Amino acid sequence: MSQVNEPVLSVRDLRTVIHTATGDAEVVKGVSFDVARGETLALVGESGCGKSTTVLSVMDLHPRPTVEITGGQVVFEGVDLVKATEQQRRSVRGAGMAMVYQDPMTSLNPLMRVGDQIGEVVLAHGGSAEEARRRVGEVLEQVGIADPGRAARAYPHEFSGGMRQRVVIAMALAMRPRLLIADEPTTALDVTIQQQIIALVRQLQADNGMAVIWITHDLGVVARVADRIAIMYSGHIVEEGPSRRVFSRPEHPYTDGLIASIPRPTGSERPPLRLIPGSPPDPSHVFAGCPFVPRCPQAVDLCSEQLPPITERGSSSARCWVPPEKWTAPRSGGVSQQVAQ
Amino acid sequence: MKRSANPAPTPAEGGRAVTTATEPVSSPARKRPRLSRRYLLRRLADVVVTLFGVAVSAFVLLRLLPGDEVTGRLGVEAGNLTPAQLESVRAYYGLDQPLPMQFLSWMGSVFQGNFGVSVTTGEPVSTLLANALPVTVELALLSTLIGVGLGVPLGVLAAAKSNGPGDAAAQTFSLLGLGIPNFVLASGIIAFLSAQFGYFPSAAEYVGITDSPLVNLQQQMYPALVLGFALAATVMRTTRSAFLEQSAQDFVRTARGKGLSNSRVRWRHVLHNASIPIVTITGIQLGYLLGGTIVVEQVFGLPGLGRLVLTGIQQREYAVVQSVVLVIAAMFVLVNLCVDLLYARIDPRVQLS
Repeated sequence: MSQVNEPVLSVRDLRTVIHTATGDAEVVKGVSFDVARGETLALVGESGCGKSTTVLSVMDLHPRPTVEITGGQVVFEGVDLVKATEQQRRSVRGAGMAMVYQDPMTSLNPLMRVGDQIGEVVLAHGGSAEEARRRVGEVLEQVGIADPGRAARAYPHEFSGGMRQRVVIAMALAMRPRLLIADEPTTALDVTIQQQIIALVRQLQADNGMAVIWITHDLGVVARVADRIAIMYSGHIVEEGPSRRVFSRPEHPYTDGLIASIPRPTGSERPPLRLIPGSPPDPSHVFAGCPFVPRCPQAVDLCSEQLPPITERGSSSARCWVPPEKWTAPRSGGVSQQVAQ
Repeated sequence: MKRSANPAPTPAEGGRAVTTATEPVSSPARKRPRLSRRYLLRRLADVVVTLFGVAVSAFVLLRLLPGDEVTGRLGVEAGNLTPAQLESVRAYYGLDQPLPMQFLSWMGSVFQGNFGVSVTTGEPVSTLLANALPVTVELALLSTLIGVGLGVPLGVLAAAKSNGPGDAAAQTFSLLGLGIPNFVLASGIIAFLSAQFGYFPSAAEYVGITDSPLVNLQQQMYPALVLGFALAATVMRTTRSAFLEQSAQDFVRTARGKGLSNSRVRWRHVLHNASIPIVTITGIQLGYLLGGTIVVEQVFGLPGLGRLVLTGIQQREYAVVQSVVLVIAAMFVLVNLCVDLLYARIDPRVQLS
């Protein structure tokens, strides 16, 4: 699905710091990635690796002054939002790029009619009341809600979780965004609803040619939605590449560990389920070398001394000193994307 | 790009129908009436029970006080009467009857709309009430208006700039409001106005709002400011904490993510959700204010319910005090009912049934 053209969003060396009572913690440590029109980039990693912080920085939705972008660029359709005025950023938010959130039970205002909450987006971006009303009907229909007129008059508590997530998606679609950011939109839903929501977003993407950033820690979801994958660990993107390639030939031991931990049917030739030992480091911890060292089976001495640079290997790139052919410990060997699904 | 309402199932992954919602297709759940007749009837029954309890308590408590209507009326002169004379005066007022009989006869006349007569002035209690009630109601509403009008914006300001200088100023204001006793503030205002400007509108005879709204407002303004100041402090603190709590909610981030202006996010999303505790605290305070504020009415010389009940107690005016207490209780219950109805108006999830 990916095409070679100007990226809709281009993030360069983004740095985000959380100011806490006990000191500052840099939780996004110089992240760079591009998303092209019509493309889905999956941002993958364990909880606390900085993936939500990254996209909230892109949307400029952090609570200030607690969380602060300290450096880098967020170029959306040619405009660097980090340097832009608040006014410019607000005109992009909800219109050029829109977001779908993790928990549909809490991301809607409980006291406002669904139609008003959707229409509000149109009004905020200069649309008339008439346009707003028309758009509400259109997007509710687009996300597959029966009887949009009635749904628009209802309050969020009158909907189930899956239906609420459809409403949130409808809200994101109101201004026909070029970029949709989906922050674990299926995590809070049960499995059958998850499949519906995934299918819905893919369908809308096919219709509109939106770019999508899909955040998840579920590799099964990644395999289903992603054109390209960016793996995050401790505030860094440690590996990035086309989905098929990352699944079949992981270039970073962390990616390899994630793939090895995908449950798969017994009796297959692949090695049995393995888990990555340990847990992700505290975001405030500053490493001299690679932050994955304590958990890395392939680590060599150099790894704890210096942070590896990003190395391009074919269509993939990884932040690792040791290329896969020099790995000594057992590894997953990769899986095909179909298996991961 | 527009799609039909129920697109034909596309053979996507696993041949699933993709876009059609298979969950409750009748999108929102069927609506139940949120305010049922049963609810209103039950509330009405509650009111009757409450008022009966209040009537009994007021009746009994008054009679526990030493002295009665006769000694209250005659003062030390009561001592000059012979026991026989005293007995006959008591019998005249019906005070020789057993207490339950007195109570029943009082309740009976109340139900006929007769609240009795003031022993001291001979005026019907209903007239006294009709004069005092508007004074107190006006004062209570004005104070509430000032309290909410000042407290809510200050609370929002404090929360929006929490821990900044504006917040510190608002917090100081609220500490003063809570800390300064209202008789001190009242006396201060009177002293200041009369000493500096020789101006003290409340010293003159009270003028009803229908007689001269302007003079009336001048007389009501200062006591309302005193009461409103204290109320504003409470409302401000409640607003601030509720606002901060709601600001951290996910839907506020959603609202910002839509590109709404800060003020729209604050007032339409955050404050709206923070309004339940604000309404609660305001309702409670209004209830108290409607009960008459004895001290402030006394200091400013307003002939409201507070003063009526105070002089009533001093002179053992059974009929007056009992009636005023009943009216106060009725207003309190009414305010509570209004608050509950307001909850349902604010929050669509509230079911009054």
